[in-house]
Amino acid sequence: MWLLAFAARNASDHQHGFGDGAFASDKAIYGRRIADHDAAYRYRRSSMKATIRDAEILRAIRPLELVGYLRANGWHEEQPLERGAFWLKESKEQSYELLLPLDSNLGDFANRIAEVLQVLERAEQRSQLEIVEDLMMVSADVIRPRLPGTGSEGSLSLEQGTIVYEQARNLMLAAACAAIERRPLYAKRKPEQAMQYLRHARFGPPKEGSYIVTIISPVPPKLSSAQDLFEEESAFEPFERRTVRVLAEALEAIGSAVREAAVTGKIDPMKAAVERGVSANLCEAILGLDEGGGGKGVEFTFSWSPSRGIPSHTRSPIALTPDVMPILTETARVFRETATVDGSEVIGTVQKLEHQESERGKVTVVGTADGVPRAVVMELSGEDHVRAIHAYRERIPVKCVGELAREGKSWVLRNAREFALLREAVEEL
Amino acid sequence: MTIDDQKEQFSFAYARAVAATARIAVTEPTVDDDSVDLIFQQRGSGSAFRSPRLEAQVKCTDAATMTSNYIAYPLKIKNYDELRSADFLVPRILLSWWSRTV
Repeated sequence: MWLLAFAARNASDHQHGFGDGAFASDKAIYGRRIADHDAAYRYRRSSMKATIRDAEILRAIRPLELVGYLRANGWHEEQPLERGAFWLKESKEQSYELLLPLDSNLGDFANRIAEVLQVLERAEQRSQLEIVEDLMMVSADVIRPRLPGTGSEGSLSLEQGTIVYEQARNLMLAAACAAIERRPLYAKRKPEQAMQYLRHARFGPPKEGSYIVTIISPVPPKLSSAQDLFEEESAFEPFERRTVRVLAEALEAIGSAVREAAVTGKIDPMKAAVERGVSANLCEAILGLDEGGGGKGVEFTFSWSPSRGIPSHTRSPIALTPDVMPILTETARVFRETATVDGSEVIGTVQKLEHQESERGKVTVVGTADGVPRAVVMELSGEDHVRAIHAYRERIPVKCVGELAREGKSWVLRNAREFALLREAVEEL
Repeated sequence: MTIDDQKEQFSFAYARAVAATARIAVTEPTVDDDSVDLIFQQRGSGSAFRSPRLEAQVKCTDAATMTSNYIAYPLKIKNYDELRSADFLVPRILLSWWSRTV
């Protein structure tokens, strides 16, 4: 008889606790929106208490990613077992312990992971969904451009969104190009390695608050005996990590160079910053992000993958305020004017031929060079010259590749090659 | 409520009662698992093993044959294999209640 009474008392205790939990989460959801208005990079997403029960999601979590996550969040391994380990997190107020399965082939892997998530939920006071999301990003560097000009709605107009996401892509492309070779300007045709990077890096779900784009740059983990916290300039750095590091350094270089340029009135500090990865392409991408994001500047936050450590000499967050933008516009313009770009593509119509009758001559094509409207002069001979004459007479658009350079007041395409007629353009006429 | 439901509820209640008296926490698995009904855990024991755990399948049957040395009763092959497998981080036992309808 006493056994039943004992059990009844425990049951009522349990119910009492549950009621408190529900109330607390309601308050947390409504209170959060106001607090989030100016939150820089500590985001409290939904406080929805969701317990992940989906075996597929749980089984997809990789033990080594969990290990990296735990280490980065103050946990340490306390006792190793055959296919798992006990991990401990000690703080002044409270100690937490969890049993981590290390072999995803274990029969009870899913339930063990579920228990780990429950402990982490309690220890970190945030939802399991958020934790799992962060877990997915453990083996990646995450770049988050924040656009304060978009209000706290957490949404963008279709028009804005298209600009913002395209420019975010261009931002990473400029960084990837700089990771290969530092130049003030990159031609329309980008190196294959940079284009490959665009296929590996991903857009993640945006964060709430003023619109925050999430760019995930995957990083293969470093295998070494000791886990260094700050990464030395190692001889081998995976391309993806180098790209993000160059981006961080370039953004910081922009921050200081812009101040100097504003004070001295000279573009030289920006030119010097090319060494740190600054280019016209990077400037234009930042300008595009600012424009699409409402014109209140862009703030970049970097989360470095714990599996590779934090690169030295980088800072997070880096804020580029609206007053920086005019200098970036001027920098991009100057870099485009003065740089000689190899592999520039010119598309347009032949408007002028200097020597219609002879073997060679100067040809002027009016159209675009690397997408920018220009009138370009080039020297053609032989077959190419014949084609140019034909194109001029029949008014057929042409395409050509070479080194674009400024000479006095004109634009010149040196070493013009691959001169071709775009017949498809006039087929309908 | 069928007789089988009654047996099931009773066996769970009994297991929880015994565990509670022994100061062992009882939870049910988060992910549906055919072979595990309850998880026993003693938090922070301070002994050689940290927070020892045990998983159990609970069965209540009246189809058992009793001898002086053992109790025998039929069990599905799938459950049998999953119980005796060593492929788990937390070991599993079978809790069996033998009931008699009066």
